[in-house]
Amino acid sequence: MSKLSKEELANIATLARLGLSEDELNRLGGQVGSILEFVEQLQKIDASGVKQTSQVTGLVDVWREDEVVRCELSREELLKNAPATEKGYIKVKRVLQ
Amino acid sequence: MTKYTPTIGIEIHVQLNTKTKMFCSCDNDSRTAEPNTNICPVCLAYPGTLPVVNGAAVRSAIKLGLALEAEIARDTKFDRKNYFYPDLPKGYQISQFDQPIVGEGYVEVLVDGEWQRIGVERAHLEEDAAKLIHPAGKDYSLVDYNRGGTPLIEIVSKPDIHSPSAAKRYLQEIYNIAMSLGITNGDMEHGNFKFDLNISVSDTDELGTKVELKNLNSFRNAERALSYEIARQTELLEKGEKIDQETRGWDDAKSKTFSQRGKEMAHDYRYFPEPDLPPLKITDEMIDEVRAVMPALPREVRKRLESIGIVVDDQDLLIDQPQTLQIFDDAADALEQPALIKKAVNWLVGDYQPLLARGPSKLTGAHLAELILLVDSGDISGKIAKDIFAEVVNGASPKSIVADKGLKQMSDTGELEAIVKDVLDKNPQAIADYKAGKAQALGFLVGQVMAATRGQANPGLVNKLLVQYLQA
Repeated sequence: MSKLSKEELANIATLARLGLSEDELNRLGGQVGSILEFVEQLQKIDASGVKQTSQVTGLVDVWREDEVVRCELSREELLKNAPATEKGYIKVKRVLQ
Repeated sequence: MTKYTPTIGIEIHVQLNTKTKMFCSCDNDSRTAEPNTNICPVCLAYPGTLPVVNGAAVRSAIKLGLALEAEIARDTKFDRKNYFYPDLPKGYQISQFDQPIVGEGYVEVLVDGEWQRIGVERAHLEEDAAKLIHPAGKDYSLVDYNRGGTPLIEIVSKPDIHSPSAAKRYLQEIYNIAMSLGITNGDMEHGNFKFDLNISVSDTDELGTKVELKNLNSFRNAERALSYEIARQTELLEKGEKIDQETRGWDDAKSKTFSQRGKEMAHDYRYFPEPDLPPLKITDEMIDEVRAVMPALPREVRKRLESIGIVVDDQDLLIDQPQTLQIFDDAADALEQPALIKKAVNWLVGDYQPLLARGPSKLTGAHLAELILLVDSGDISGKIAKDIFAEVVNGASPKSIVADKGLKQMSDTGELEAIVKDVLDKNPQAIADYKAGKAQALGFLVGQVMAATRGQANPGLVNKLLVQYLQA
């Protein structure tokens, strides 16, 4: 993979909810492209004998019983970090239904 | 005119009624809770918190899989589905992508008198999003995270459905299965059971452009929306026009579908394995444990009801009302004879329904059987049985009502004979009419005897005695 096109970069930025300026889009295409190129070296490793996994901890079947444990933090404490609240709700920029 | 075949695929979201949420120990029942009172750092996605799978939700999924005759995955895992929306605090939903817990299965439904098999592609576990409220006239929305993290099972059908009525039957069957398994509260008005319908029409072997009808929660509206879409799409194609791939909604008031959004940028959810959750290994022991507590499934119930000659509409009603079905089963056990068992069905689908609609019922199968046997033995008339039925539904025993109120039919011939003679003595004109060939005179005399016994005489016996005397 070579340099990332501006469109590809813009799409990735949208998906990641990052607002990039025109200048950033021009500048970062090359940089992100070379990061991908660097990581791409992994493709050269022969992994044909290695079983695919998404986990390396070796853990399986970690679950809990279905018993309610009330959170010891109050609603006020839990919502403290929200930019805005109203009557116990978190207030956000209006989204269409 | 060309014949267009509709093809329908359905995705159903069932909210599970586990005590706690999918990945944290918050109370999963927020029906009467104030907003944001069943939340914790895990379901609010505070940094550094870790999800832990709810074992009961896994067992619910296995139950459903067994009911769908599906393969239960021995190796299953969770994945992240990435997108941004305020109802999703983590910026991703924990779902299952390529290793769903439930594999291919099927249901069998009765469509217009024919059994049809409809395939299920898969079913997987995931978490619900929070509830958004959009106050009128305001420039903001409000978020209640109580629902965020509620366990969901998504059931994906195969595109095996070719009519709105089959789609409705499929939805009802899955609903009835989920209800009989007890894995959901099934409150459709409150979103416990929601579905998306994919519909296309085509006059060739290739599928047409599909339209998605999103977020329906009523069987009737599903059927109506599909009929509307089939007509709309067929008309467009016949005019030589193209169908837009789009999402449409159903406007109940106008009885039509409307465009919600066109084909935007293809969804790019960038699924990847959830690194915070170790995979699950489902063992034979776990499956056997679930199998041991499986209740009777709707199709088994249906086949049983069919085998004793109960018509489809009555089967539907009993399957839709698990408590009524239980009353029926208990009554049928006590009654044994097919003719009497059918009477139990008649009571339950008839007189019982308006009473049930009025309030909670205390009717038991034992009491219903008792009532039917009282009529069958001639102890009370059918009319008396109807008169006292409301009290029986309120929990009273038919035998004790009959005893307390002295409602037992007079079947003692000696006692009745005296009354019959008395009535005849007082009505010479009716006797003359009867002898002159006026059959209705007999009815009048029966009525007089019934009145004299305050309705307690056995009408059949009264009739017999009167005829005996009149023809003597």
